[in-house]
Amino acid sequence: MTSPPGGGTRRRRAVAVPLTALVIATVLGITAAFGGFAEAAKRPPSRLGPGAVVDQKLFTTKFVTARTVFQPDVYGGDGKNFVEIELEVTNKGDKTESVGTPGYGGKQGLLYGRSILKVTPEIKSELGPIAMIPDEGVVSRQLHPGMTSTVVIRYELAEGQEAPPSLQLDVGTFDPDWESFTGAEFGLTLETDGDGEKAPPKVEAQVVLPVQRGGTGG
Amino acid sequence: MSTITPARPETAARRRGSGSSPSRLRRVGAALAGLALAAAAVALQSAAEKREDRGAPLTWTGGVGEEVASSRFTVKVKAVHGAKSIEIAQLSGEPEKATTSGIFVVVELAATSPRDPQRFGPPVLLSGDGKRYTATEKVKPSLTITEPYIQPGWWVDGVAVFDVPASALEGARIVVGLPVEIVGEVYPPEVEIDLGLDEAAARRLVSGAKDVYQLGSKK
Repeated sequence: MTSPPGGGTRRRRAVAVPLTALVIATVLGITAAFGGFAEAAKRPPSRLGPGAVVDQKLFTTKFVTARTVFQPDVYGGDGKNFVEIELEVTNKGDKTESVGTPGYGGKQGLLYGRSILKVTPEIKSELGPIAMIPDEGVVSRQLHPGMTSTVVIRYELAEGQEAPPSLQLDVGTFDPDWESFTGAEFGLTLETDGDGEKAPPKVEAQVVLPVQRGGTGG
Repeated sequence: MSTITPARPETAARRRGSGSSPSRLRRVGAALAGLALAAAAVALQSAAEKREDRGAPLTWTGGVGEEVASSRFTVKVKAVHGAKSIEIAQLSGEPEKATTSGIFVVVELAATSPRDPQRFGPPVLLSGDGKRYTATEKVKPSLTITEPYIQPGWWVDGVAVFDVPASALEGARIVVGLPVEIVGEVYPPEVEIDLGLDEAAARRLVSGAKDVYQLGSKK
């Protein structure tokens, strides 16, 4: 039934199997040499200065300045000292969002403010930082789609507390396609490093702002 | 016994005949039917309710001047104004003046309820390109349509004020509904009213915007 050994078939060597094995070995070798299928080395966050613009996917934020502000007391007291960080925030999303508060004391912030992951050195403030849009006649906290607002993050300093010479802001990005399992909306969600449930938020940029001295605010 | 013995040659015959054309046809037919069912399932899936639509509001729609009745309240848009700033009277002292980098849209509304008293949540302006602008918080809710109870038997007047870029005006609609609760009801009623702003009307609203629109009592 089968063809007899010898004759014309003798020259046909079984090259396919060793050749395939060689190719696989080579490909595996090259892949391994380049670090395998593990995620490529993470891009370090870009380091930026005053005036820098960071694309946070759902927002674009310009980091304008940081400054100290003294607010005199209307009733003749000592007045209050603040450190303020000024941002220009454009909402690129589809609905009105709220400025929320930035992260503070190791805790995540809220809403837009959540994307200011960390401020170093941390400015100790009794009530923590607040964020607002102060320059449109009436104080507001809404970021409307397609509009750019001046957002001020404010830390109240205790008496005698010194403002740091400069601040470093770790800035995160928002996940534009995030959908909760239940369909309930719990607000804006940050992009993380890796897929783990407890993966830390991704630091897209680190912005260093020197703290300008001596402003007076109202 | 007697029932099993004749069955054997029959199955054997069927097995032997598995290569024959009627059986192959049947197999092809079954495969096609399977494919068709799978395709139908995929097609049905795409028609299924999307996650974001699950429990989404039931919307009644209409135009300016129409009484648009939902299951629990009726809303009418009486007028739409543009404004560059809003002056809000205070109980004492100088009025506050809210400004914007865009334009304020003031919608005059009236509402009534067929049976139970209702209170509205913050209205939303839905732009032509589908962006949702929540009513501005620069105007206190107590001065807007969200403050009063909407009672059966008479119409309550109020305004909704939005802070939007001029580009959001064309094709804009106002959405009025009940406040969102943490454990919300599914399919809550809402009314969506087209503000009738085509390109020309949107441009007129911007060019004709009042410098100052006054809100609140001036007693």
